[in-house]
Amino acid sequence: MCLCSLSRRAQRREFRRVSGGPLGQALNLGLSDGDQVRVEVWRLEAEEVEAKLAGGSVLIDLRPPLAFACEHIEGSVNLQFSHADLADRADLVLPSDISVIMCAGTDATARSGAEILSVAGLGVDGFLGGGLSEWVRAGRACTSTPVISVDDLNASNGEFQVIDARESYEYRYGHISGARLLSSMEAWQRVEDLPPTGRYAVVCGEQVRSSLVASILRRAGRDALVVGGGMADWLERGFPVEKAGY
Amino acid sequence: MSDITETKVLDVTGLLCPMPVVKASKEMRSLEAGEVLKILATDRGAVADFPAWAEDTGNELLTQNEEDGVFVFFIKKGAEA
Repeated sequence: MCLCSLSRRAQRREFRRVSGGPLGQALNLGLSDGDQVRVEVWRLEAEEVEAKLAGGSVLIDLRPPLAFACEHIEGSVNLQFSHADLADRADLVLPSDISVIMCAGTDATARSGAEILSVAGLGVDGFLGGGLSEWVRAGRACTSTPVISVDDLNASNGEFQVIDARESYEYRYGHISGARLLSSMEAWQRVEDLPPTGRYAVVCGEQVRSSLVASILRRAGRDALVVGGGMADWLERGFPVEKAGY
Repeated sequence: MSDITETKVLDVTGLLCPMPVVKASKEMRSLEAGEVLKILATDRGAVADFPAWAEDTGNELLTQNEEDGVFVFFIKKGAEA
């Protein structure tokens, strides 16, 4: 490796110190104000991200569900960013033995997500510098996730197997007739239970968990789409629900 | 306005599903039967989540309303919860 490339790489290597302040407390690290944890964050170019994905890393797209549905990198998992609980939700829905790369609407958000998950103990390879814009500018392709409205789902006459991505207590309280429960916390482990030939419409309370679960299904090769507006819209239209039993 | 007196307040504003209920479930364990937990949330999904969770766990949703974009729930801990 030549000196100039070493220098360029060194410039992209960023170290942050996470103290026992708000971030440390938000991550439940048990840090006091004097404690510090060194976090290493890499800004990755499109070609580096591509190579790491080919090596088994998982791209975590931190953007909101609708933006993710419109355009994203194939195989990426949609875990919407939130300073307050990103580490907690990642802990609930992702396996601990994977390496992840962050992608977001801005580098600042992607870097924050990388820091939070790194401090929380996940293997973080870095973040996609420039996000999807740079990915596309580098000649790489994107894909999208279809979104179906509750009206179209209600009129679809069983064309889709509805997957309910909420928790069991929400499912028992009221779910779409025929829906199969696959909570966001179990989706990664149980995705192979779903026949690969099915067509799946994933629903949750609104769209955060359904987008996550649909992205996990699509990553596993399933034909999955997201129910726009989720159960909130379904109930608002007065469409029927079933209680209990699964 | 509510004239219910809460025992504890749990602020889960800014948290996304399912974290509001996960946090509330944990907080409720520290209360005695009959005591009331007031929950503040901003995730729209919480509107459906908390009634479902309360019914499923034997707690009682006393009231829920929205104040300036914040959803407010008063949940009384049940005897068997």
